[in-house]
Amino acid sequence: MRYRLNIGSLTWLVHRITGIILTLYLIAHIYVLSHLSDPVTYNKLMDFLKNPIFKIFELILFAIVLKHLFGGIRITLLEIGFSTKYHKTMSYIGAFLVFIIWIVGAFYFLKEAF
Amino acid sequence: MDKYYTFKIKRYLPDENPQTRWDEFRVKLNSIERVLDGLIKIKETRDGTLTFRKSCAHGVCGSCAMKISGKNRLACQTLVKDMPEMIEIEPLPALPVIKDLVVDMSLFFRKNDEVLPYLINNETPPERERIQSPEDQHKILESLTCVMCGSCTTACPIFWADKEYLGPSALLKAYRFIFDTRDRAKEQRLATINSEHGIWRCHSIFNCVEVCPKQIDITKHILLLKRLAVKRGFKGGVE
Repeated sequence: MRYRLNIGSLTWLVHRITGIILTLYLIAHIYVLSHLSDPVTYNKLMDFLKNPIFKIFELILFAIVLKHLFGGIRITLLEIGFSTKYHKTMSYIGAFLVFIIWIVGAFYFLKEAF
Repeated sequence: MDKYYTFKIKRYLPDENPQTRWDEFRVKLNSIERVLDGLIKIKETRDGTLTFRKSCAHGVCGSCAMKISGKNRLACQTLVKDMPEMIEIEPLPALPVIKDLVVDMSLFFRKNDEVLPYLINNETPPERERIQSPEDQHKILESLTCVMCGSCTTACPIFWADKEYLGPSALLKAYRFIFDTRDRAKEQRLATINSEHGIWRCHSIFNCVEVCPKQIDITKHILLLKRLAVKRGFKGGVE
């Protein structure tokens, strides 16, 4: 079914998708961590993760975490009584802050890599 | 100023094969005319089998709610001059279609009945009417303007996925009586909406607010109900 998207439904959709990705990532993350018992396998994995391709994945994950975080703040503000008149403004401000923090964060991430 | 508009209408004819098809009609309309005028013109001059609901044609009865250019609206409130040259018209989403643009609204009205949409007060009635102060009236004024056209509930993505969900319209109706100072059945209504398919299914998507032909901020009302339910939960059911 086709239905026109607006800011509210788009924000909700992004929040949902990032939430599902984070849940799956968390399961994988805990699974990998719980299987790292000896230093040899740990070092092997860390060397493997030094590959630049994982830096890109890390940056994508960082963006997803930020987007989900600010989506959550917006919903919390609405639920505790912030006026619904500003729900669109809050979406825009959230997206803007995600962008700024991501740029700053990406700078530090990549500085570490190269 | 007259201009030609193409009405692309999703037809559903249960007796024909195939049952669903898109029909296109080109009609000349004035800039002050509405989508409903176009539909009436088509029915009168082109295809008499085109079926749609209409009653007052002035945005009061809420009969002519339909999906116009990808968004639920009242056909009688939508001016053609605000629409693109090609106007796509479909029935309301997520409800079973009976014919063309007519949907079966019984599910929608059943949800309204669930929240007991009438004043309940067993106290002895006063000699004249039950008095309400202007301040108390003001609290429910916005929710009173609902015409129950069904645009909001059928625009809600949660309702598309969960047909058990009460929907914005029924929750707004619940608000209207829960916050009415003359009503005494607050507990019953709160028990109905404070359930798995009640207020907690609302994810503040604002699709209902976008489409409401009466500009009611429905999400604001649902959020107020949520806060009331949380407050009562903390205090163990007492205010």
